[in-house]
Amino acid sequence: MKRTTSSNVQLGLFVTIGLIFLLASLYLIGNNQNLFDSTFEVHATFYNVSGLTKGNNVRFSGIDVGTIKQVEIISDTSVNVTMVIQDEVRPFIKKTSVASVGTDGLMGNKLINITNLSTTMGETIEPGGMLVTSKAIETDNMLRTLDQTNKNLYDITSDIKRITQKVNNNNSLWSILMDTTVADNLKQSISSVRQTTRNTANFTNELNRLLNDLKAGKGAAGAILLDSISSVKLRSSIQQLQEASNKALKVTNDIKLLTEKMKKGEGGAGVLMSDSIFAKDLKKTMHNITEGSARFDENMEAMKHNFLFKGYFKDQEKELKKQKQDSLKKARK
Amino acid sequence: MAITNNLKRFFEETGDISRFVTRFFKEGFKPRYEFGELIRQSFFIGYKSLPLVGITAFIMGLVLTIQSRPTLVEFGAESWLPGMVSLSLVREISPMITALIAAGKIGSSIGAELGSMKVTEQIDAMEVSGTNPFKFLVVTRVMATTFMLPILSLWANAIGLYGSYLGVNIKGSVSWHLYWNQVFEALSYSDFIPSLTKTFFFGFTIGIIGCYKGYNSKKGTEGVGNSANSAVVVSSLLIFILDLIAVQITDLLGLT
Amino acid sequence: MADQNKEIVLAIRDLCKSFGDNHVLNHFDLDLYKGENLVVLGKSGSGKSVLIKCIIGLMKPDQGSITIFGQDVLSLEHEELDRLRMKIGFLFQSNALYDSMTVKENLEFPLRRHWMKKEMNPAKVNELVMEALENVGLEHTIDMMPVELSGGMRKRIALARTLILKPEIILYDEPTTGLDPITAKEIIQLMIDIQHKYQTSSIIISHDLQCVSMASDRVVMLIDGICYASGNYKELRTREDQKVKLFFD
Repeated sequence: MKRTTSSNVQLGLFVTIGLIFLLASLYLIGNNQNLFDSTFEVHATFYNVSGLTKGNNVRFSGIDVGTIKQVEIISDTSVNVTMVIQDEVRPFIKKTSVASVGTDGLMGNKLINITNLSTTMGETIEPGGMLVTSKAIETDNMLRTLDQTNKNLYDITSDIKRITQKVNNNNSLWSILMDTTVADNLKQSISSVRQTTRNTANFTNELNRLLNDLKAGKGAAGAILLDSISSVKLRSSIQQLQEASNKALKVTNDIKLLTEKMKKGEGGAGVLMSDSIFAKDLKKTMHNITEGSARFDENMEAMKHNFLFKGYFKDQEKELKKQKQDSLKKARK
Repeated sequence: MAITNNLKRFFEETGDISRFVTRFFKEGFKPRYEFGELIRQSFFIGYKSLPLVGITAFIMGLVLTIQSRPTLVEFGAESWLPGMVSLSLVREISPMITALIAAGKIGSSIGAELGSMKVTEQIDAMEVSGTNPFKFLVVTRVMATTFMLPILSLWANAIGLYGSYLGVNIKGSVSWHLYWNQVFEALSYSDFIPSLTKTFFFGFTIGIIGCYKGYNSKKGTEGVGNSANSAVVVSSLLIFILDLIAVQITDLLGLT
Repeated sequence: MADQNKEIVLAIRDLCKSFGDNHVLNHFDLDLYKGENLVVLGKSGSGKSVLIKCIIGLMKPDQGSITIFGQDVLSLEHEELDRLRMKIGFLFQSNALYDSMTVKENLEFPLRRHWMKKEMNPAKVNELVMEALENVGLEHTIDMMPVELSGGMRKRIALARTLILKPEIILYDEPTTGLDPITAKEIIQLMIDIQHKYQTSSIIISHDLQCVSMASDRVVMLIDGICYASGNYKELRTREDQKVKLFFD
């Protein structure tokens, strides 16, 4: 009978510890979903919640403090979001605190960020109270702008390519060999082009680095969104890029004008033709531009194939299709 | 002809098993209850299987982590490693490993034990000794597997996750606390409850098939061997089929 | 039919059992008198085992009646059948010792099971177990497992287990099969001693002539599913019937 007793003890231990695992898992999972903390509810009304759903996290100053309890449409322009937030953080959330829809990482889950705008003491929010909302930076828009920029750049470079080809193939150049002013102009233009190219290359490099960081998951993706400084940087770099492309366009126009002048035989191309260093420079510049844009293209393509971004591009495609269909429908009407 | 015969035998056996299951429910819930024997069987089926299940779960947790790392590193999502591995472990690997190990170890031993008891007339002897052998042998074993398998699976979860913790820390460095934080952040009730529920069915299947095969064993040592063998084969196959059904049901219920 | 005035403890009438087209028992009749050793003789597959399994209720016959101590076995409820089974011992051909239990647990098993509802006194159980072991002369094996025992010892333990409830009728299913002649002789002697000691009636299923000659008060020959011939051993040996003679040659 001794054997049975000890085996009973072993069985008892086995079952008890198993059940402790069960209870612990149930508790810990529940804890993560705020099931066991005392909580309170707050509301916020958004124009667009970008796919926020029940169960998404609510963050206050970057800390998970609660979850989304309910997302419901209350009118054709507003969506009411009910959040369940732990009681212990209530003193820190003011009536003036701002709720915004954000993303966990670049492509992660949607979440609500609650931030205190000013350091001034405000009234603490009441359970069931309303939070002020703001529109967060939208990755979608950002990436759309980037894409547009890329297209512009592509157009510019292809223009330049065409022009150079024309320049190369034009026999009438020989007839304009004598014009010196044009040559000076050209010299200047080319240095402008070089500057632009360098800018573009720099930007591309920067973007490249950014994407690498993203790939490496160094959290830069989150930083872009959450850190307003980097988003400002990104914005300004986009602006720079646009500026650059504007400049490039101007240059192209100049070149166009130039070639037209050349065609008309106003001379001066002799300097250009005789200066072999210049020709080399031009060649290199052109090469740089094509390389730069090709790399940029590559990056965008890589981005498209990266699984993290797949969803975004799919969404965009869908949107495009939808827009097309809408316009078709309108046209039919 | 052979095919029709095989089909006929298949449906015959399916019918027999169904009848066996019905009998289990009919007799299992009527007194007298064989608690002592239930405890004894639970000890053998649960406690005695723990080392085997534990080692397998540990290795699976470790290996799965090491195998998943390169892919995640490629995407720069190394920090997802604990979450991803814990999801695979809890949702699928632990229940399946436990069930398959149990089908191999417990299913075959039940098949062989009942088979040899049948062949050597021990089952008849019980009947003569004022014992309902179905209750004493079958009901207790099926109950024991049904209740012990979920517990074994819980153990497998815990041990597998520990293995995964070590696996994460072979190349990376994640603290004990952070690891479990990440694990439980990734898990939700909709991962945990369905996987635990299905282990009850796995356990029931292992018990009932093992008992059926043993209880209907044919004469001779070959019959006993066949019982043990087919108990393992049939219950393993049924576990996979049940798993398929379980995933469909959880999907239908929107618990994914 | 030597003692017509003796009490009949077990009566079988018109018993039929068939497996498919194989009619192993075909309108079989049998009486067992109190205190006698009845040997049922027949070749393998002739339905001897089926017969005693029907008696103890392990198999249901297709037709016929079995009456033990005035009770119709076939119409009994489960509990009543269990109570009746306490009075009947059954020695299985393959001993049917529980492999997972010790000798002591094996012997206790029928006691515990049948007496579950009553208060069971451990001292009383021990006493009965020891008495049963003494009867077969194997007291030293009490804590051994069945696999550790030799074939003859296992048979004796099985016999002890059969006897532990002090049955009034004992059914022996081929008690000497698989034993060497010397051990077989010992077992048969044991059976006879026990019969004298406890005044039991027994049915012995066998095709072993040594067993038949030693143990039988009366022999019934089961051939073609019926009680083909009956009488004592010496008488049957001298019969001229072809089928009977086949057994004794």
